[in-house]
Amino acid sequence: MKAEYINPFVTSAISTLKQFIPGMEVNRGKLAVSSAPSQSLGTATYIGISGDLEGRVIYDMNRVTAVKIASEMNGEKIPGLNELVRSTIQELGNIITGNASAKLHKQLDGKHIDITPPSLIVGEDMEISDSISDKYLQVPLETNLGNIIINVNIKESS
Amino acid sequence: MVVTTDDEHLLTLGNNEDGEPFKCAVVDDSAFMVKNLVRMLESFDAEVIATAENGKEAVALVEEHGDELDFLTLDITMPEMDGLTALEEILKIEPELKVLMVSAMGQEDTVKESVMKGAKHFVVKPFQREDVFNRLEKVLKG
Ligand SMILES: [Mg+2]
Repeated sequence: MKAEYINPFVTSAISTLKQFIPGMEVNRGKLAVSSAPSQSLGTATYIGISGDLEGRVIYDMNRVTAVKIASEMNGEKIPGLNELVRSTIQELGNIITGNASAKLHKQLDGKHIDITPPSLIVGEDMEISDSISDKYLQVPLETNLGNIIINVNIKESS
Repeated sequence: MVVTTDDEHLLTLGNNEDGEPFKCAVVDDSAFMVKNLVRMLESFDAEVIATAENGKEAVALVEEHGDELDFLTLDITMPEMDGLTALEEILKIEPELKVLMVSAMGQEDTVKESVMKGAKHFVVKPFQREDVFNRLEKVLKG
């Protein structure tokens, strides 16, 4: 997997978060390679990628961070991980991925990317296992509302 | 997106040809997005008469309410049936319906495909309130 594939996801995540939550502090952490399966922080949004590229992206954060981000995005204090939090966090993943796909489309001379609707996997001590691939590229975003880890595994379609 | 500007009430779409508020429907699989779009469209003085959460529901919605609708906002990435497929089906039922795509899938070829299939405009998420308003005004009055 090429490292250049993860950058559009990171820059889209930063700009999307800042647009929804003005004043949010977001710092990009160090790129790492992780072997699947890896331990989820508790609230993982999974989106499949197909078309000229194929793979998956997972936005992972803990429950407290998910509730905080959703509360900010809805302009109301949400007490816990309810349906509105789930739907907000999934749509955040959808928007980041859609924006990243537009960047990749430009960067890769018109290659087209389709994305699946997001699914949210909730549960601590849960493993994100993957039968197809062995390695994810990871970039953590350190924010004032908690960490978000972006996991990307994409390759050119065979 | 949280709408908190002071000039919230300055943006109004006014009335349709019948002298009534514009009637619309919102289609998006995210309850978060539906909630925000409904709130925003109502702040523009439009009346949201129905919502749907996937393409199939959107087609059923247009079968039922198509003749009452002045416009419809349509997401692309949805389960059951995606928005581009739904767009074709919807326009078969109501060829004159004004459809505004509201999607994160801003790849140039997707935007072109939407317009070729008959959508009037395309708003990329995350959107600015003024941007949606300006495009809607063009769609409704242009
Ligand atoms: Mg969607």
